[in-house]
Amino acid sequence: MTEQEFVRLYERTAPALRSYLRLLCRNTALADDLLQDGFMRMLHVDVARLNEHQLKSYLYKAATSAAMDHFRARKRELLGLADVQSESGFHADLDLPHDMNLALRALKPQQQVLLWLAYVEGFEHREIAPLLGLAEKSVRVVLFRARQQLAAILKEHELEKVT
Amino acid sequence: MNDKECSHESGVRRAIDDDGLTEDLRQHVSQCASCREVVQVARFMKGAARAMEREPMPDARAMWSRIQLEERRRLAERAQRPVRLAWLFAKCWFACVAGLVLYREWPVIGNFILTMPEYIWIAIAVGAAIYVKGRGLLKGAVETGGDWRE
Repeated sequence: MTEQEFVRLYERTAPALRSYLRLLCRNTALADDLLQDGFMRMLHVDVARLNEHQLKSYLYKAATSAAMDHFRARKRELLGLADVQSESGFHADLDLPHDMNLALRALKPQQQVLLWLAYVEGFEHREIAPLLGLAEKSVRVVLFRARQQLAAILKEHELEKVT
Repeated sequence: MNDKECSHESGVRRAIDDDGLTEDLRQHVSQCASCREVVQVARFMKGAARAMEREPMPDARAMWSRIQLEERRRLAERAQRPVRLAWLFAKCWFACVAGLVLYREWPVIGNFILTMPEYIWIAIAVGAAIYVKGRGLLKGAVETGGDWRE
């Protein structure tokens, strides 16, 4: 990958990817390190051969795997994601309006990440499953529950019009 | 629990991504509770994403430079791996040979050690001290990039 290609790719994809990583680890400095690691794993990929969606999928896979490697390096397994996140201040607020933080905080870390991948990035269940090390069926069920829960929270706090 | 998707769900999701529901989908959403939920949740999540993306990003060119540096460091580390392995192998080999010699020639060696003159002991101690100190200095110089004052 040349510098020009990198800059174009970065400007197009990094803002959303960084927000995802911040949601994943709730730590801006760590998210920036993971972002760098994720892009570094893209260095040897021929980006010209991938379409936009494939590229995004590859990038999210690289960044999520960088995050998981980081968590694993701290002797945690993927299933321990919730522990790691709660330890690293997962319930610390993001730079969001108070009511949005309130709604997100009511969800489990895994639910937040799933909702992000499905509704912000538009990934299909089969694409989300390998990212988070879950079975496709589990993604469907967990996502459905998360969606119901968030919808109920939005209704309860009358946040439907916030967006 | 019913976790079945409405058949229009993926169409609704795609339409939100493309920023517009067709009249047919809009009508369907008004009648389908599941799709209404999808619209509501997707809009909320996208709103959150937009709010988070307002934060200033690390500069692309600075990120490129850091990635290049990190990549070079990784390549150098990989290139040094065979040397490190060979060094480790040599140490193990030396330890085995030394152990074997000590074991087989212990009567001669033991006798030599017991009768060794004092100045040889002093020479060994001085050599060991120089080795330990020199190694520490060398390591420090490598870590501080050649600045011996640090």
